[in-house]
Amino acid sequence: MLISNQIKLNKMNKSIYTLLLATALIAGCKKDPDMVGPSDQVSTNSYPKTIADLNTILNPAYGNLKSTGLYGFELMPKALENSVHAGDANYNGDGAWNEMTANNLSPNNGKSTNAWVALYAGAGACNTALEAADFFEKTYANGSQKAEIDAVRGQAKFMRAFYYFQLEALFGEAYIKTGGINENKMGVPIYMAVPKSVTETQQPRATTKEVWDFIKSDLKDAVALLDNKVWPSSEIGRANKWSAKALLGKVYVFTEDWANAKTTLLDVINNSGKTLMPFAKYKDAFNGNTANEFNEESLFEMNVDADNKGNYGPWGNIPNASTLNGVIWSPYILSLTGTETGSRPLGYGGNLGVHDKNVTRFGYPLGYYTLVNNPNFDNSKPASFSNPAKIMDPVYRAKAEAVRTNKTADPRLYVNLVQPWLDVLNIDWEGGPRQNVPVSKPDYLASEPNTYGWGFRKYAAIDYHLNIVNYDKWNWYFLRMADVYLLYAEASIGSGDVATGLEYINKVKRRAYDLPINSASPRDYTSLSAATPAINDPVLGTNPLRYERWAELFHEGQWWFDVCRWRLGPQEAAFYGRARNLSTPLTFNEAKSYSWPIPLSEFNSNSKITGQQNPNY
Amino acid sequence: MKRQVLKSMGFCCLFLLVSFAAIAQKKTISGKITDQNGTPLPGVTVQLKGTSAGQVADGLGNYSITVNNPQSDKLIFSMVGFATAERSASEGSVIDVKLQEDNTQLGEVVVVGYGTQRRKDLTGSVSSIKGEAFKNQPITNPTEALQGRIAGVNIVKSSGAPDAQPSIIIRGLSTLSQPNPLYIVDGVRVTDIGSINVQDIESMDVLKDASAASIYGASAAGGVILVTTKRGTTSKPQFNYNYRYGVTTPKVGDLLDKDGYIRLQNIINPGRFNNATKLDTLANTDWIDETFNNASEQNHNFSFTGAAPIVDYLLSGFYNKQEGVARKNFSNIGGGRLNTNFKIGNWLKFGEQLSVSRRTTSNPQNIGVEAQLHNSPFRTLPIIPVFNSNGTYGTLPTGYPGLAFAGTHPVGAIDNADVENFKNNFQANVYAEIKLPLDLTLRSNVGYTFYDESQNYFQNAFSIGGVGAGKNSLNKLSIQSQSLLTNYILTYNKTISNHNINAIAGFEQITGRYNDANTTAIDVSADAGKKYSFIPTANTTYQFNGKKDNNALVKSFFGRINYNYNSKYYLSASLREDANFTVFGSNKQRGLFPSASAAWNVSEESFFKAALPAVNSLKLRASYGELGNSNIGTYRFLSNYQPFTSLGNGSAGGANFAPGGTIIPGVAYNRIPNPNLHWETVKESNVGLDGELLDSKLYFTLEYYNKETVDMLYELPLAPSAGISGSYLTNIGSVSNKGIEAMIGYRTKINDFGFDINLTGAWNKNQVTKLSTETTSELLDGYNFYNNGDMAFQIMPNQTITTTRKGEPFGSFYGYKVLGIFQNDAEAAKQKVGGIPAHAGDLQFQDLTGDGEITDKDRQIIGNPNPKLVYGANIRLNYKGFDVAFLFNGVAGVDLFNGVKAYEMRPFADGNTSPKVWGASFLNGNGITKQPRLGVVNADGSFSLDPNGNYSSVNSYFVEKGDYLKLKNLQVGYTFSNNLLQKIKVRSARIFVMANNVFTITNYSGLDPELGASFSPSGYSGVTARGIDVVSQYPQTRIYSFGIDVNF
Repeated sequence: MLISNQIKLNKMNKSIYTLLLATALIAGCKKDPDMVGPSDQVSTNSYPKTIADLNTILNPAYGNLKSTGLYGFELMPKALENSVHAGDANYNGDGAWNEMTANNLSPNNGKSTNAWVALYAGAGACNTALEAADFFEKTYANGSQKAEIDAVRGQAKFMRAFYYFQLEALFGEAYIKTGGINENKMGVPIYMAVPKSVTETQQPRATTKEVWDFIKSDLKDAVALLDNKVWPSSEIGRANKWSAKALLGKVYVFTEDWANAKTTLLDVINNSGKTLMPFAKYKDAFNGNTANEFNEESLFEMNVDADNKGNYGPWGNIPNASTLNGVIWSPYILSLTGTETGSRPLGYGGNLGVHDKNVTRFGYPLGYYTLVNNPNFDNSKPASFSNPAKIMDPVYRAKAEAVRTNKTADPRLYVNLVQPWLDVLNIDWEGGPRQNVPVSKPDYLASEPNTYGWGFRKYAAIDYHLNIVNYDKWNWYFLRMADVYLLYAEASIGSGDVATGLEYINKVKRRAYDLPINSASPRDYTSLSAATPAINDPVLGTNPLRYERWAELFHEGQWWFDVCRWRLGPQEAAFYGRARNLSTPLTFNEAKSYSWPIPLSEFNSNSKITGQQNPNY
Repeated sequence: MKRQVLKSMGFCCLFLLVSFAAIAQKKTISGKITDQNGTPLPGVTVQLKGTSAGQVADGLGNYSITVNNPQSDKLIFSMVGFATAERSASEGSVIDVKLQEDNTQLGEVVVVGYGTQRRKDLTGSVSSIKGEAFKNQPITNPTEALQGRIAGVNIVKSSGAPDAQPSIIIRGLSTLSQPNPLYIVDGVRVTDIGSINVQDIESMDVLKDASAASIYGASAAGGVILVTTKRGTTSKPQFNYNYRYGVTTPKVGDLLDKDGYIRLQNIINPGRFNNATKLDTLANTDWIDETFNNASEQNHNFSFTGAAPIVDYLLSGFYNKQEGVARKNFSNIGGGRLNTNFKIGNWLKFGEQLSVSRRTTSNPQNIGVEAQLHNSPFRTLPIIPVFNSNGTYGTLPTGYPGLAFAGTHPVGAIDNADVENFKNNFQANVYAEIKLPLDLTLRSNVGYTFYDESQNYFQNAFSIGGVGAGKNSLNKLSIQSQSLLTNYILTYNKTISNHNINAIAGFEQITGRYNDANTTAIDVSADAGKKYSFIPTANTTYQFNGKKDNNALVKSFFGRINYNYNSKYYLSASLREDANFTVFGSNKQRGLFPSASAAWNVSEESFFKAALPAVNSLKLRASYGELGNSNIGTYRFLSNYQPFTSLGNGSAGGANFAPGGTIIPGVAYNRIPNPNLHWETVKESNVGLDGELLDSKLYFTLEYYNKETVDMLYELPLAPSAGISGSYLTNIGSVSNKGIEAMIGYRTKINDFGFDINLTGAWNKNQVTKLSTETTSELLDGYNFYNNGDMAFQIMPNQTITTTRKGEPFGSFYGYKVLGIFQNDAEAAKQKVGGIPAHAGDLQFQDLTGDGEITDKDRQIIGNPNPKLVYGANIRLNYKGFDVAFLFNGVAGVDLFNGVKAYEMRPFADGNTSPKVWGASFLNGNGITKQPRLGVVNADGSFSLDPNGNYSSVNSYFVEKGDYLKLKNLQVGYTFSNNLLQKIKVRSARIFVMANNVFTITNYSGLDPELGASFSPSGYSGVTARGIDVVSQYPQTRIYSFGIDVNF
């Protein structure tokens, strides 16, 4: 081994080193890049380039309605239907549901929090679309695209108004009453543009007047921007100027501006070309029959398809057009052996049934039924739902059929609900063949004789097992002519024109009984305090306007707004009495519960809202 | 990338062509170097003192060196693991040297940033651990080896999953975005050292303070851990094989069985079972038994090492096979390493370290639909059988009024998910070091890491009770990432009389590439899907995600100078500039990180030696430095359009406008841009004292540090009303950590009995000194999740457990303070929760507002999850062939939030609880106990569950002292004597038995007080959700093993 213990170099070697060193350093060094960005996102500096791009920015304004916090999953089955007791939760494991049922929310109630977050996400999407429309117009558009850009603006403004309408109705401190009462109470924070800095995200609550004025101004703009826009059938679900006018009319009613309400709503009634659909269609217009969607009555409707693109309904990341309300409030069918015990839910089961009081509220006059031995039971065959050992008492059954045939009860009862044993659903159970199976009481009520145990029919899966496919398939109506008629009636009554009011209430009622809507009928209410179908009901029994809004728009997410603006809380609590998920009787705190609490998460991130919680939270 | 490797290699090869002149000198000294037993020691460095001239002893321990001045020159003999010896050339021309095994801490060589130093010469805070100390511990992640062994390094392993990653915090939580330490393996940065074979590790050095770490600039805020892998040292090739096998047992809870469940239901849900007959036909399933079982761990390792005069080599391989205690869970890892180092003369060194590994994991209990992992599955019912009588998965018995169950079937959910995950790692480092004139050395490293992960996941369609997956799906995922590090370091070493100077200057560049593809096909052929193959059906739909990003680029210049005078007085300073182009905002791409330090070897002073001869060495150190944290994620400074999500679900971005119409996807702004986004800066000063006494048998280190983080990044939660889903990341906060660390050890040998005790302790105080002034100054986080992420569906719904705010430590527990349990109704009636008056047996909460109502305004700080003291003890004893090693670790002064306790004491949703429920006041015939009541029986016989929120509000009843002392590892071994073995050609052999997680001394009532961070949607879980004991975690385990270690 030859080792040199010291190294000496000549000058030539030295310069080689220097050269090599310099080369190596330069060669190894990568040039500083200019602005870099991720390649899976698009820069706000170069997008949108086309109308189609602009539509992808507008799209969340609509899509967000299907948010899990809104009409995609929670808002109806877990919040509103407990609040108004259309539903009766058997499931008591979720404190937030229980609070909704008790109309006594905590500021951290998950359902109200999610509604707040999701409604504002929708409003934010509208602001982004408005900004993108300006950017596109300035940067890439040609003059001929102005009308299309304006149509995007019009939709964005309509949707922004629609989100703020719900925000204000749910979270505002109070509704404005005739004469400007409550105008200076607290509304919700207003964002007219996308915030560009953190400072801009710190917004106090506007007054109720400011919020409603903002909504009205957006809707008026939307009417103007969408004035000449007629959507082709492939885009029939987009908002048009009549959607905006109808919502504007509703806003006037909700703020008791009767004069403007009347003109605006009458314009919709006379000029929109919309009317009430016939009863034959009406009874099949809430369960996903696509032939009946976007019909002559619909002014604004959320398209929902029986296709979740592999998501769990609205849960997941693949853009789709599905919701999942029905899984919570699914009806039951008889068990495979034809018993109520072990009856099969067409969704989760055990979650949300129909509150029994709604059955009599629709005018169903009979008491509870009993099961008797089936005289036709075939001993030689195994018991099944087509050969049940026990059946509904035939005497009772005959009476119940008569109630239905004679329209003793409001026919809308059978549009909204299914009745055990009488209603038969055509179901393919877990991959088997389609079979007709009678509706059953839920399993959890099977041993409780003093219950009706009806199931939801409107917005429910009645011809498939939702739990297997994980999607709803019915469109959701947000604005339809029946609502407009009743709002017009309310505005007419409010401004002293009782006759017109009664007529429009009666039009809605006539349709329910399959009568010509424009001709007087024996079913007509003759006064504003005439008896309604509701039995033993101090709230609705002699108030046709209230009853018709309740019955016509049952299970559509409207009644809570009416309860709050009409301040019916304690009466409703007294009427419904109890709920399965609460151990104490229902009560209602008027000083608190007409407004949902502003969520804690807002207080934790918005310094300007400090001290602006709704009263008594 | 490839081109760069070649360039760099070519550059090195050119040097080989350069010829050197060797100049003969005046006297040659030669000799033989051996250890205490006379065994020759090859590879010892022989150096002429005060110069860089030297050489290495050959394979037989022989050396030969020429000296200039035989009268005054001194020779230094050094080798890792042995005390350095110094001899005078004047002793003669043959000097045989016996090296003592290194008995001193100060003599050891420590790896520091871009170089090595003798511990004696350190001015910063560096702690080291030898691989030998942990090589037979049942760990597969080297980080875990540091637990209990290094003061100031807090390792928490809170999961018994076979591929669990321990968490590591050095000197307290310094930021919300707490970075992992920077890992440097043989000079190359790697993001994770989990794939490194523990037994390949020669040493791990932890750079704890800023002066030691600041040479790594913007990446070093979490501390730096330098891992050095082994190399061959013996001229005779050695072959080592070792093996261990162990049994793993889970630490799990207890659920009510059928009888207990029904008995409880008869109280809280009367009517369901009271009148039922045939209860004896109901199932009695123990869901814990069904989901957790004993498992096993085994490990094989071999290595082949050796050294020749110009080359040393190590070839090793390992295979670790671990079953998890959870159903269908396993993780196996195997790999190999080749390290070779060449030394050509005295002027050129080059070599490489190559390692490969492959980990295979299956964890359907974490991935499958509805198959959430819980250490106790509270949302199950014992009366649901595992299988129904017809062989299908068990469902709820029918006919019990009001009885409903919407939860999952844990076994069915796990069994319907099949998953396999492969992680392949390749790491290569090639280096060359060449001596230049003027006392310069140039070293260049080219490090390349390649990571390839793939996963197959087949989710079968199923429906059990209310839950399931409607359609099957097959997901295939592939990720590749690679990084290339090149650096050039010029070192200057010069001694002029007693002035020793070491300086480095360097340039480093790191580039990265990333590519992934994630595909899911829904509704596929199940037969093929189960085999992870794809056959479409008529209904198949597809999802695809993927991106590529080659932009990653970090460029750095750095320099350091170390000066000492006669090994007495030390000064050191360093500076680094880092530029990062994908992480920092466009206005702030470059950061500068300085440091300075000084030390004084007091014991070298003659007055000191005279005054305190028993003190072998004593050194005082002081330092200051700045470090950066760039643990931010990429492009966070930009606002772009990206797919819209609502409450986290992207499906809501899409909409169509007619039945069956085309679904248009939706995009939205993702955030508010921040061009000023930049690194956080940690400013740290450190004072240390190192000493050895009593012939270096007693050794200690004391450190004090004061660490302040400024410009802390805070993911400012935007007001939900702003309608922007992303948060705003901004440099806004400050944090202070102050602490003391102590390490003391004593080792000696009395006849055949040797022992070595080493104690470490670290006290730390953490305080957030500034958080935010822009919105509100509080960050609320931490949830008592049942299923991670579901804030609403859990026992304390939508309530945060921690607050992080100015003046308090990170993640302080925040809720109602419990004053006691009400003893009578009259006293209790003064308290209302949600408007409902309390009763005897309810918790009394402190009413801060004094309004009689307990609301969120009455919350206060109720605990601190940051331990005041983290300590460890290592005790190693040996007597003749026997050896025993104890590894203790513990923490003190820590609070834990026992969220599991709430589930154990109150039935959850439609599920179950544990037998602890029977301890509640007024239940089970109890009067008032120490456990609050469960609820109240109403007049009509119904039951109101927990109206006072005893178990469903965040309160201090669940805050417990989490102090513990664990015997983490106990090992007993016996090494066979040589005589016996030589007959079978075995050089040495050791057998051992071992237990891991042997026992825990604690007052904590939960399963295990060693808790890390629980899941948090904020993304700061490591900092703001610490110390929360949740149901949704993998159980801790205990392992009993035996093993054998043989050298040929």
